[in-house]
Amino acid sequence: MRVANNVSADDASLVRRCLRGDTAAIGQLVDDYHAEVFGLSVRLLHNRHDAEDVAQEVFLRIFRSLRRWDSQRPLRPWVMGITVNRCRTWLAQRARRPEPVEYVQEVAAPEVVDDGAELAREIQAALRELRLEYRSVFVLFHERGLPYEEIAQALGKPLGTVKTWLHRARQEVLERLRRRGMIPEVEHEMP
Amino acid sequence: LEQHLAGCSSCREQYAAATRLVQGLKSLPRIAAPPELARRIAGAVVRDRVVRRRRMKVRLYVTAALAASVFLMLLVSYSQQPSPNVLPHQVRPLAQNEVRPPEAPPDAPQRTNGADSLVERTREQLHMLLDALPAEVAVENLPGVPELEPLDPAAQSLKQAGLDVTASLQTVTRSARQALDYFSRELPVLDLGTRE
Repeated sequence: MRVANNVSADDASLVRRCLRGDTAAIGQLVDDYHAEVFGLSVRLLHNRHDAEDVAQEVFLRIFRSLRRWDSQRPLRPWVMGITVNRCRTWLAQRARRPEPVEYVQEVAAPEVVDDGAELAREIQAALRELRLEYRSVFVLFHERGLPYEEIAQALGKPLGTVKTWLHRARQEVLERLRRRGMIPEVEHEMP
Repeated sequence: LEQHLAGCSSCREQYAAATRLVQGLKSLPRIAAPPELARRIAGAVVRDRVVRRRRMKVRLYVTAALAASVFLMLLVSYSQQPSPNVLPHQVRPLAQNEVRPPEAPPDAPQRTNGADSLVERTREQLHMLLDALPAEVAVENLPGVPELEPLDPAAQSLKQAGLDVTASLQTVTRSARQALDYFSRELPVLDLGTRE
């Protein structure tokens, strides 16, 4: 588990070089974080094309506000926080405009191959039903491996709120898995 | 833990569900970014920086031009003020008995303040208007209109001050016009399209 507030010297140096306009440093920062930003965007938006657009917007925003990054805090949660915010804005805009093209499920495999794939598909479907705050916390914790403290920094929420959201997210995912028969029934002892 | 789970069905159920969730999370497909995405993003970022830097330069030039205009305006205004022959520290305050009213012409009534000057100037303007009237209503035919007299020194200095202010304002308006021209050149052109 990563230690909160552990600011990497490499990150600080990289940011300084980016601020000086070093093109190689810009490329390196993009290389370091683009997969994470894209992955999180796909999970939150459920659409790869949208996620590509959002990832580009996220990096434009990151470089425009790089001077405002607090060098006393780690860079990764800051980047993830901007990603979540951009996804939230994108979803709000998408909800306002009618989409002629139906969004397809691009992440999950269309055919169920085995039990593991079926379970993964159900979890993804459950994630889609979660509200954005719960989904963000769930993905950041379980898939991106961020500790509670960094998630709290990324979302700008108190630690207790993050823990509560994560608990509720798990409960809702499990509830769906139960409904879909993905969790075996446990035999209750007779009194 | 195993002992507790063996005796507690509720915990056993929660444990089984959590294990199943962890198992499912491990089998989630890994999301790979498109191979060209990083290069595309880096290109967009560099282009954005160039555009923003250019905009920043334009903004800087506009600000500098405005500052220079204001500075020039102040400089011109200052240079047009009547310069005293003595330095400020050499100026001695006048005593009350040293203040002399401007000398009036001998045939004019005593004028001691600016109100009299104003009356005189109003009278002068009236005289000019009367000049424009037809001959049959000439000034000399009108009763109660005295002859025009030359402006006294107080009115002369007031007139000179007015002229100075006018000249200063001309500089201000010219600078403001130049600044507006500069702004209008920098404004983006709106493509409003054509209406059917």
